[in-house]
Amino acid sequence: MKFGIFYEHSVQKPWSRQSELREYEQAMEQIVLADELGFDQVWQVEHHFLEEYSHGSAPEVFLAAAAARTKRIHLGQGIAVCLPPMNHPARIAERAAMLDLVSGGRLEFGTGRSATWTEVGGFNIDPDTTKEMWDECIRAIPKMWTEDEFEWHGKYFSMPPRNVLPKPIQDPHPPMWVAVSSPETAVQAAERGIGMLGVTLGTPADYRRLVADYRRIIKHCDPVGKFVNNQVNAASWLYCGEDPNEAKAVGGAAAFSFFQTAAHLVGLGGIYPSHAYTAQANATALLSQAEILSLREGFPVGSPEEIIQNMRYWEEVGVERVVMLINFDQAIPHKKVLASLERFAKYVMPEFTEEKVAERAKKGPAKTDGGPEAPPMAT
Amino acid sequence: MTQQISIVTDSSVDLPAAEAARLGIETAPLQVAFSTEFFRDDALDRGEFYRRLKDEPRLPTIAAAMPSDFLTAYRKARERGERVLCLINPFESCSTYTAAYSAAVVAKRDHKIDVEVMNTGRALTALGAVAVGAAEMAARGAELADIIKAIEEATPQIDSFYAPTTNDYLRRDGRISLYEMNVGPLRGMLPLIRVWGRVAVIGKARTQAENIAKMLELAEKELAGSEAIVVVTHGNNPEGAKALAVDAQKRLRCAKMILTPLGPSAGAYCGEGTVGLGFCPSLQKLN
Repeated sequence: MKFGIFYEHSVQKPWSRQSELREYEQAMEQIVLADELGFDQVWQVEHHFLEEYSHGSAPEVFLAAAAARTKRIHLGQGIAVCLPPMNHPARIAERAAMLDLVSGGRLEFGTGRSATWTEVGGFNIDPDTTKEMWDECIRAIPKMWTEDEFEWHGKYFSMPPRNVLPKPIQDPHPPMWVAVSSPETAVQAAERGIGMLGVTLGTPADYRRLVADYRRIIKHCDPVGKFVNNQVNAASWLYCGEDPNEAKAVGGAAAFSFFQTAAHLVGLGGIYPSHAYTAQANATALLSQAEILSLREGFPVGSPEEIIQNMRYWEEVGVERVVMLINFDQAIPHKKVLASLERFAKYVMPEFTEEKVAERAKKGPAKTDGGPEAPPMAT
Repeated sequence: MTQQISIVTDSSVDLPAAEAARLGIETAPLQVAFSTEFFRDDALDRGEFYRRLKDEPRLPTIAAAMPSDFLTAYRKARERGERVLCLINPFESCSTYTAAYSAAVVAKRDHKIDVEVMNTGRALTALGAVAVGAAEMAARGAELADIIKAIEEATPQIDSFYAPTTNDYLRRDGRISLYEMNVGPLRGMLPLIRVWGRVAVIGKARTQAENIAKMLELAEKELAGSEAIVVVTHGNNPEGAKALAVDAQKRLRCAKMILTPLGPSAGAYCGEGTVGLGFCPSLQKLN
């Protein structure tokens, strides 16, 4: 099992000129440590205009800086927003390929279409069309990476024959993913042969159905890229504390802060009656449940022993990777975040080596159901 | 109460109402919008649909059935079976699972109805064939897990193809490079379309007859001699459908053959004159 970390780059008010810089600098130090400790991936979101929640609008810039300071950790665009009025697909392909080159082939290419009115409306995009836009982009981009003469005549973008440069160093191209927060998208990821990048900060039980559908359908997929990426990357929390009480107090504060801030986002489904966003009409529900959701069973927030148990739930559900939010709004002091990463690497990671996971798989499924099942919930 | 399981799906399957009623399949109607005018699929006459498809400046938008309609379908289905299996698949941008699942949560909470919602990975006419197979299994007294397992096992042999008489509707949709991705420029040629969760062009020919021949060849290859439920569909082209049904009877081992008009989901991309084929091996309990 592989473990990663991810960043929203949340920055709480009041702001100064230094607020964002401080967030980025702390994040960079955490990434350098994560690389040394053996974490497999770091992902950064692409969000626009979301005050406090995310000041991470240019992941390829931040990840290029991370590439220069690290050696092994994979760098994930989580995600590149594939909407032509926001990002021309050729520019997405160019920037991603360049990041792949400068990182020595460490790019994980995540795709998606945005979920808030603030972002989609900010670029004057019709929400009903974003799924189709994404679909065009994810089919065009692998061709740009692998063909010397690319031409496209689409509903949402067109271009005459051009050689889109540079080409990525990974051959034939970096692994492709899509952000999955609804069961529909899990199925669509599988049909297209791309990785399922869970973006619901959930528990193993939340992911059970998504993963089962994904696994079944991807066996018979029609891949959009040159190869099938059949991996599942789940998203959750991480705070590996000194003991259960300290972990719940510190980790719980960050989780609570996240759900509070997320509840103030204007989800598209909550403001615009789009058939393409019904799964997103959740802001009110999130706000009313922020406290309940903060530390649900299965979140890897606890002592190392508790986290090992929680990670076994994830293993049982069938995910290969878990990518974790390690702080939010700097609610956890930076030094404690570093210590949490160190404890996780020292005590938890050794329990999830390939050999140990294979050994447990031979013995059959664990005797747990992964906690209570919850209805679909997006963040 | 005569059986353990009853089947619900949505109207994208295009099963004739009488056949669905006979098999005990409840369907929740899709929503169809021409510009700003909305229709429930069950209130949209097929002849009227194809007339408007020709005349309207924009192709219609198809949206998932409403949760309230899924709930109604679950309540009717519960009268026939102890538990409900809802078979769906997202098509293009439709939030079908979210609608079906939301209704399932309410069905459980307010009406004590157990509903299992399954994303089958196969859509439209193929999903229709799956629903028929599942309903037949249910009528034989099969349990939920047996039906789901049989569908999962059969998935590689479940498919749907359509042979239109024009590529105008794909052009009007606008995603030309996407449709030409597997086959090169269509120019004046006719597409052979496969639908799983989306519309994909998998072949092209000068005539519809050539595409029909290719469609049957693919069906024959995928079914590999298995006995199958076959649904033949058409866009205002009953004679074409009858001819295809005769050919399908000769080429495939048809346990059941259903003829039905093609609805808005695939119809909007294919247009009048289209004939299509959806199939699923006869579903059996596996050991």
